Amino acid sequence: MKMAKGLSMVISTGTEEKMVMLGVLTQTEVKLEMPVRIFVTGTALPLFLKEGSAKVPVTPGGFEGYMKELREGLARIKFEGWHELLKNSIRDGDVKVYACSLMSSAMNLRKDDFDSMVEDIVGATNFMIQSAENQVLVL
Amino acid sequence: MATYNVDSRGTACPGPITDLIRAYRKAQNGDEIVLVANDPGAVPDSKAWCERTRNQFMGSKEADRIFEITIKVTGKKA
Repeated sequence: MKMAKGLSMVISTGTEEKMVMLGVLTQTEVKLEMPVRIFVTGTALPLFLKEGSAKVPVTPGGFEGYMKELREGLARIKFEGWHELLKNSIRDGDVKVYACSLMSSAMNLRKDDFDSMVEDIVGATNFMIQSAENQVLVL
Repeated sequence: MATYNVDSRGTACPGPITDLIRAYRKAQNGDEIVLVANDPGAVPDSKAWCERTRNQFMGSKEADRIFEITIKVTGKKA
């Protein structure tokens, strides 16, 4: 069986638990010395704008109580935070974060509007070509 | 050698690449394709596509959020 070269993730929903998983999976992959490519789209996009990481992630309807409990639990166990995990992973490994060009156009966002961790605004072609040998996860 | 002018202004991802590939199918090695688009992913997508397909990305220009991308067709099998 051919092993995937690395991991590519599409983060399309900016809920707390998905952002946590994005950070944890990225950090793990970097520790394994494997490349990571991240494509940010949908409701995750605002979290990757300048100062976006300070925003409260999207709360899924019907889970308000659970998400509050989760947030408090993450604080109690001193979870570093998804933004910190991603920032450190970018520093330590081969990690690239891209913003979706379709959604960026629709929201009238330019490269300058994004957090410095966002490498570029790209379309599906660029992301899929970079992900050709990777396992792809959609979060 | 022919030049194919492709106007993808007003189309969003993956429109510009779809239009580029449509022109590429008609083109021969040595021809140029000039793609004009306003999708911000058009430049990095075209670059990645060129690398993948062994065509030559000649360059890009931007003015007022409109990108003009020039590609030399070199990847066609004889």
